Amino acid sequence: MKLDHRSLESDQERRLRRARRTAKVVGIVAFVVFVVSIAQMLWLKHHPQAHAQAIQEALMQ
Amino acid sequence: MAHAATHDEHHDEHHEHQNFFQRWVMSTNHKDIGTLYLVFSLLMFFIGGSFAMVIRAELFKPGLQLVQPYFFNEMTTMHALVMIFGAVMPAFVGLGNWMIPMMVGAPDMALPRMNNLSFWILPFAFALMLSTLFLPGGGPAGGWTMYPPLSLQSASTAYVVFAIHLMGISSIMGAINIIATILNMRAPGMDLLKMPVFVWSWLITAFLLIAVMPVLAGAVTMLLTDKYFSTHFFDAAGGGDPVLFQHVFWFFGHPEVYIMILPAFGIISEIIPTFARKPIFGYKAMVFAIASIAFLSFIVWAHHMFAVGLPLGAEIFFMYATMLIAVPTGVKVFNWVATMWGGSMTFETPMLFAIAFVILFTIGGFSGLMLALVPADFQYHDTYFVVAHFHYVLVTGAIFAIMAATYYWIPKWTGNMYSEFWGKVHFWNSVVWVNVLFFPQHFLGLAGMPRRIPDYNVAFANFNMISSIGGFLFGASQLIFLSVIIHCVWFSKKKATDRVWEGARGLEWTLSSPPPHHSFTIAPVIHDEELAHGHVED
Repeated sequence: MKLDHRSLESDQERRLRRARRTAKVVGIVAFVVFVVSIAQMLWLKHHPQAHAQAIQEALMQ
Repeated sequence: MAHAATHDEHHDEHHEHQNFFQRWVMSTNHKDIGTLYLVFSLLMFFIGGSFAMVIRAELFKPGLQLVQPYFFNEMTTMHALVMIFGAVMPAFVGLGNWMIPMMVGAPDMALPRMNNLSFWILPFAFALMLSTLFLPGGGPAGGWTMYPPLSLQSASTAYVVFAIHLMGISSIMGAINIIATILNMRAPGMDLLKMPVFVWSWLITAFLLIAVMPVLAGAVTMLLTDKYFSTHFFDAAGGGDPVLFQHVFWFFGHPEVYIMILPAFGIISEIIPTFARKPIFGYKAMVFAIASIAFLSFIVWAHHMFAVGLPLGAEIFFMYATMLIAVPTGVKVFNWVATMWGGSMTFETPMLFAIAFVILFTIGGFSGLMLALVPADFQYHDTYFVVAHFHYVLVTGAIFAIMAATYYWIPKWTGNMYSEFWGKVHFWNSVVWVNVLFFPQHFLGLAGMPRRIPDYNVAFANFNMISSIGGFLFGASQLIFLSVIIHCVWFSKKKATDRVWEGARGLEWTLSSPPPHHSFTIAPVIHDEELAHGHVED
């Protein structure tokens, strides 16, 4: 039978393990936001008609 | 508890064996790192303040008398960057580092080594940024907003972009640590809705940081590639659009404003109940108001750009969304007043700063509402009215809250009481001169004086002179603040009690003053009556 190491954890160790997991998830979210912020500008660069149309609509008002 | 005490003493002995380098450079202790952040922030406050003195000296009378226009522009740019990223943000991170673990009953931050790294990045980032002032091409002079193409004309773009990346990494790591600590390290029984409002405000602020600091990093990365790697994200000649930078920048920039004020709301929500000797009025409403303000901060960014030629529908949307922020902010102001109402109030220095915050921040909020109106903003845009508005929000808002927090918690941190007399001298000087400094700038803006100029029409001379006199005296008043801190830390003979303030409630006040180097190594038993807001009605 395999030993369940987590059953031997103290409360404090369990809290720390969960904290590290939370930190990883939040860190990944931050990195994704960074990539998306550049990716959307790249998308606009490769779809100039969408950008031009938006500017034209703005200027018509 | 006996076991806990032995445990703490053992750790304190270990801490006494550390030399200066080990204790301060290699520290993983949240209290030491909190102190490092606060000292760093104070240093940056005086450096940024000295830049402000140069600005006000040059504007003392019309004409160019002290500095060249380019240097003046460097001063306005650096003043903002240093004050925002070097003084206000690190001060709040320092306060969070010191207080959050003690407030939630945690032994330390969840990731102590990352905590050390997030602090020690900052001195290098600011050394890099400030060093540009001494480079042959000069430092950044295009304003802290770094709008292209102006900002790309500077020789120091790469330095500033790298420094901002470092600051951003530091802030993101700090935010990750705070989120992980609050969500996972609370003592048993410390439910989310029993946490002090300061902890709530920091949790929400940390999520804001995670959502927007990478966007700033993305924006400045694109600036860098536009300048050095032949991309054309924001270069009209290559098919790019400089207005896109403004959108990306302000998607970061507006939440950034709330990053600098939400922890201040948390601080004021701790101080007013203590000195009114009443629990905070509407605890849940306060928490939801902070969350609402944070949400709304993501959908108002274009109110900084009304004058660039947005579609009419967008202008109307951003105008109404901005005005909507007044609702949760009003909830907070009314709740602070309701907390004081009928309370057994005393007016120690932290409370004086807190009351000044409520009144003066509200003035900044009202001028913000005026700026939110599209037709009115077309007149106010880029005038001194805007300068007056955001200084009321950031100086009498964020910085007054940081000063209030310092007076409120420094007896706990050091075990010594500060001089109440000199604290009050500092307060009254600050509150008088800050209004002499910034209130006339409303009139200058309404009369049409543009911001970021070293010279101006003689019609603006009187108000500028008054403003500069206020600036010099406000700056000098901060030397009193420095003296009070130095006296309290090293020379004060008056010892602080554990609770320090009669009306103080919360786990942090159950610890000794100063607290042991390692506190709550054994999770505390939570008694609701000990908590600041323990009895929350459903």
